[in-house]
Amino acid sequence: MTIYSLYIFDRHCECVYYQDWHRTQPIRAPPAISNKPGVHRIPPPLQPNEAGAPTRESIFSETNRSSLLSNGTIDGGANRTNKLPKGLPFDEESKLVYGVILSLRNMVKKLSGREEAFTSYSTSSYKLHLFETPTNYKFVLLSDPSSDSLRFVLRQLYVGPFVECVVRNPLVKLDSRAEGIDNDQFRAAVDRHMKGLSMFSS
Amino acid sequence: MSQSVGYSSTPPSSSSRFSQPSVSSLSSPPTSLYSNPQHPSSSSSSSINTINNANSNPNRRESVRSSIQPSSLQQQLFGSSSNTNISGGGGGGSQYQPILDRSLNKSKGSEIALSAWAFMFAEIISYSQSRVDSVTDLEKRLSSLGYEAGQRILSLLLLRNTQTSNLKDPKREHRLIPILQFVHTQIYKYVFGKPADGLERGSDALDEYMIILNESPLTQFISVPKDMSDLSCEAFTAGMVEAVLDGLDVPARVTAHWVGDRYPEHPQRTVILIKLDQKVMDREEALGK
Amino acid sequence: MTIHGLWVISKAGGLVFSRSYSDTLPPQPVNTILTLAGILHGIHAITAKLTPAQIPGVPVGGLESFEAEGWGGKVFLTPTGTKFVLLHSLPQAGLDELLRRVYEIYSDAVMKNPFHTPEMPINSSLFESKLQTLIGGVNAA
Repeated sequence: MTIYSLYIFDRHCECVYYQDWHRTQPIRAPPAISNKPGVHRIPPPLQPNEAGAPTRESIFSETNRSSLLSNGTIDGGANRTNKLPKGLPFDEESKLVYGVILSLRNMVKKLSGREEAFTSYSTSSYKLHLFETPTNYKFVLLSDPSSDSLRFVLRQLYVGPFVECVVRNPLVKLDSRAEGIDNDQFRAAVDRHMKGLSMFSS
Repeated sequence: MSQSVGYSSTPPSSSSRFSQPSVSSLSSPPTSLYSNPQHPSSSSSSSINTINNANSNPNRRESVRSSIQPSSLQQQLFGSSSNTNISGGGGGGSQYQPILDRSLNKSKGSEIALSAWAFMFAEIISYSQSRVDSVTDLEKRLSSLGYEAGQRILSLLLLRNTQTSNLKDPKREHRLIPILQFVHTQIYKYVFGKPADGLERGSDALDEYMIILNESPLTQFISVPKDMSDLSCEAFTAGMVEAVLDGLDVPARVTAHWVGDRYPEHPQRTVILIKLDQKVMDREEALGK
Repeated sequence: MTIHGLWVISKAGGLVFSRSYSDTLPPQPVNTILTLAGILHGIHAITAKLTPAQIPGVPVGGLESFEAEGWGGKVFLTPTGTKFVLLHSLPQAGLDELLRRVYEIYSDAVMKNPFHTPEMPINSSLFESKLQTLIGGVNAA
């Protein structure tokens, strides 16, 4: 039993938050142009020695500003060819995740002929759980395929850290479309919550 | 041909067509290649199951494919002195023998998989279908193929009967009813693994007899499209029966008719209708009781 | 467990068979199901790409099942790329066995039928009646 990653999408279909834990398939930072600050902490492709694990100690604005600065027009292309980046860029992956849950949601709705929520799907390698808030935020959690429904965890995240550290945080620009909701408190609270779960240990 | 029509419901116990033991599924007649559980259940312990299965139980499809080398079928049919390691396809575990050198008396272990037959028969039908214009022509074609098979089956069975019963003067039926019973029982048993389900005399015509089969292994997987509802692929069986009767000097016109719509419990019930030649009726009358 | 419906999707993503076996889910026009089957085919490919971590010994595959609040769907992919999609009530037990039986019926009644063209819609009364017997038995239990 383990947990891989968490995505939060807002009502504009934009990914506003990302965090991962036991993920082994690589993901890389999106190209600078399509990078949105305040969503993820995937290190920019400049530091090859740090690739893989998300940095936790840095403040999000700093990480992202540095990526914006250093990953300008000249470096971006050269880096990609030299370093053989692995995995999908983050922005593409989050779009795929959103596309899949949206299609499945619509399919479920159509098939059942009424407002019925799609809750989860699984493959041989992972299981995806979806929790939708009344304000149309979508919480998406990827866990290992044998886990039971984890929607209650997503609900706890919503009721707990999300309301505390995002909604009640005047510095977070909710609904801005330009940047995410990442802040140290929220990230730490989510991390704490996840690590406290019995199914977290890998 | 006769070998391939032969089908028994009991799998040959120890015979392995190829040297690998995992291929024994080929020589037993499963209705499907996938009848045994191969894929793990997706219950809570699925990941463990998957790993075990992957290691201890190699995918059957894989093993079947790998063991059918391009030459092995040829070797089976036509023989080859180069490879004597391949165990016998015919006899249970005996040394490899070309099909023409095998003893004609040996019936054990000469069955082939029903699936193999079903796929071949399906190909025969679609091949024939692309070369005919009408349902009648298609039935004729199937019937003539069945005729070829029937001729050989009759010779083989008569020979075997003679040799197994070890009679000095082998018995050969000459009266109509015993001949029909011979077809109903022995021929059907050899071809389909069980006697036919009924032998009846036509109600209105004296020269008509019917052999009834509730579910033929030959055509059990075939579902005829609605626009060809007249077609009965049992025309093959009809041709075979015609050849056997011909061989016993009982000329007749034999046709197959699907009557499943009148028997809901046997949706595939087929009647093989035998319309005897007038010559046979005359002879029967002359021979009297 | 109740089986609500069965779809068969060809390896190119076309719907070749669909049947409803209960009236829990509202009946859909064939065109809707055709579209949904195509979408499902696409989703299947994408979900494999989203794998966050490969479990050792388990091949990475696409969508195997999905769940709504009152019902779910199970996708079974054959080695040749044909997909069987079973819509069922929750909780489900013995689905894998059932799908294997469906696959067996498919290989018998469809693949051995000379009047069937591969990758084309399945038009076999034998297939339908065998499925009806199997799934009717499950639904009645």
